[in-house]
Amino acid sequence: MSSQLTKNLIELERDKVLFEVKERLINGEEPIGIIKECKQGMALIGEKYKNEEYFLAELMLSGDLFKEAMELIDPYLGEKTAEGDIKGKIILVTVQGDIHDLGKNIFATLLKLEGFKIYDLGVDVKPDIVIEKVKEIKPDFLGFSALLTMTFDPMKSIVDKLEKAGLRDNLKIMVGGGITNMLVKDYIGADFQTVDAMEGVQYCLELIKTKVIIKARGGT
Amino acid sequence: MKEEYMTATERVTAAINLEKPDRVPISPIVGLDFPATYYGLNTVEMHKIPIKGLDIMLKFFDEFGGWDGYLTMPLYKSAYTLGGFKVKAPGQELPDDYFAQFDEGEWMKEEDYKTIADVGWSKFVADEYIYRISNWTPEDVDKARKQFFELGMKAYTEWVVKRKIGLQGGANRVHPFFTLSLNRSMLKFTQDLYYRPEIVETALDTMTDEYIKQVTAQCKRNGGKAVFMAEERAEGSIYPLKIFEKFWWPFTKRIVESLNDEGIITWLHLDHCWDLNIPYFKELPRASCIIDLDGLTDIFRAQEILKDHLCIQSDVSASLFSIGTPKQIEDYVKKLIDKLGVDGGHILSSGCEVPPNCRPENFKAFLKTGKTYQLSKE
Repeated sequence: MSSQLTKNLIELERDKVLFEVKERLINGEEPIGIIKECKQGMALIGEKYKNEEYFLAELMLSGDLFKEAMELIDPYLGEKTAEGDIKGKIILVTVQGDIHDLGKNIFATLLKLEGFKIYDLGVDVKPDIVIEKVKEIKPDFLGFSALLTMTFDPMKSIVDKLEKAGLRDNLKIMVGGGITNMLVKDYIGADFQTVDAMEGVQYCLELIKTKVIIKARGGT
Repeated sequence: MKEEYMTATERVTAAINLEKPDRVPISPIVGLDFPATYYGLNTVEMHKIPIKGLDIMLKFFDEFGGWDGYLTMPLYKSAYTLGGFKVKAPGQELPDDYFAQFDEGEWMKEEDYKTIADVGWSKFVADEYIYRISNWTPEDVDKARKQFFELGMKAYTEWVVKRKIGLQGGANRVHPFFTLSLNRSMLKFTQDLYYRPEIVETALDTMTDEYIKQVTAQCKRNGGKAVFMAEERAEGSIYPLKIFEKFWWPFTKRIVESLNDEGIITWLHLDHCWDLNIPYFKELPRASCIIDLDGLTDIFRAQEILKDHLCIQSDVSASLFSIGTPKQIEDYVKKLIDKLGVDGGHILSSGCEVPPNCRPENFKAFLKTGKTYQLSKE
């Protein structure tokens, strides 16, 4: 059964959501419970998107609303963490030559909601910085966001270097953005391509699930 | 092989009017960046002295044997600034070897909608906004306008008079909806659409009337036959149809119908996936516009829906141009010609702009296949 807060979030009732979160926090309510209701709302919004009832616009609006609600909750959390268990680590980046970040930011918000830890390297990032970060963070996924064809070669060079450095085996590489397609995926050597942020989230969830099962069975 | 018997203008006009041309007209969107890269140049100077950019584009056009095309102006930073768009340019905000890109942000504020609704976009830009998005003085604005006018005169002489280009464009303007989205930022604009719809609608209403009035006057002054109108933000991959139907479709319809009444074609440059929205375009007058797609919309389905009603401009994608092979380009161009037909209603083109890192051999294959495939079969 959904709470009123969850329902309001699904209906994108911005003022009502923020008002209720503030009120409940002031009244001393446990913040983790409020977060849970918000997350439930976001999960149902994801369902609506999958069913084509909601569009990218609603994902964007709800993601921003969730972020604002979390900003209100954050000071009340104390030692507790809003994140819960981390499902996996993901580096997101728009590489050298491209300064667009809209798609990347939407994708990052959706992944955070699903419990992934995001390392957003920003835009116009040089290949060597990406390599260094992969070495340091050892992520499960590396996601490229691209809106210009000039990014194809820098992305390819990163994938090639990761391969040479032996960092590719346990790393899944994704590429997304309006300019990408299967040809681009194959050219740069990625594992997955999409122009749909939600499809990207599903990919990460499925892969992580498989990884957990393999680990549980004693694999690597 | 059968020979061509139409001029570029006759060919493009026939395709738009859904009549059979001698062959499918070819009109790739070639801006500043691909020709500059081809000649091993960066575009730093071309953004400062755009006539140099135009010279490079003309040299490139001539070297590749030309195409049917459209009057093309280099899109340089000052031209964007004059129109009220913030752009980062190489040699200014970006390294020399980069290409110009929109600098999207919340430059326009919520209270600006009312001003725009009252005085229109152009006056809002000229009176205050241009100074918010640039460090220009009024003298800089005058200088930029003069430079733009001189460039337009030269472009007209070179493309229309000397090269007899197929379709003389009279104006190049971003759609009012896209204009607001780019200047307000996509998130803020979306919040405005959902939470403050009245102020957006009122501003769009004023901007639409202004758009029609200004581009019609511009075309009457320069003899232009078409208006290029770009939109990348209103489609069904971003907004539900209730938003499209309220904030985009009625204004677009008004623009296309008004221009059509004046004998002006609207070239609707529609990037991203418009699959959900394509059926609406059947409501527009027959042969009133060009539906220009970029590879993300299902062009073959779009043509099934719009066949014998509107001309479609095709969509060889930027990725295919940059990392595909000449054979892949040839195959796709043949597929376009075979499936979209040769009886009018198709202009062969690139999906959006031919990218700067297009392989020259791919561009050659595109032109060669476009020019010869159909004629060799007939």
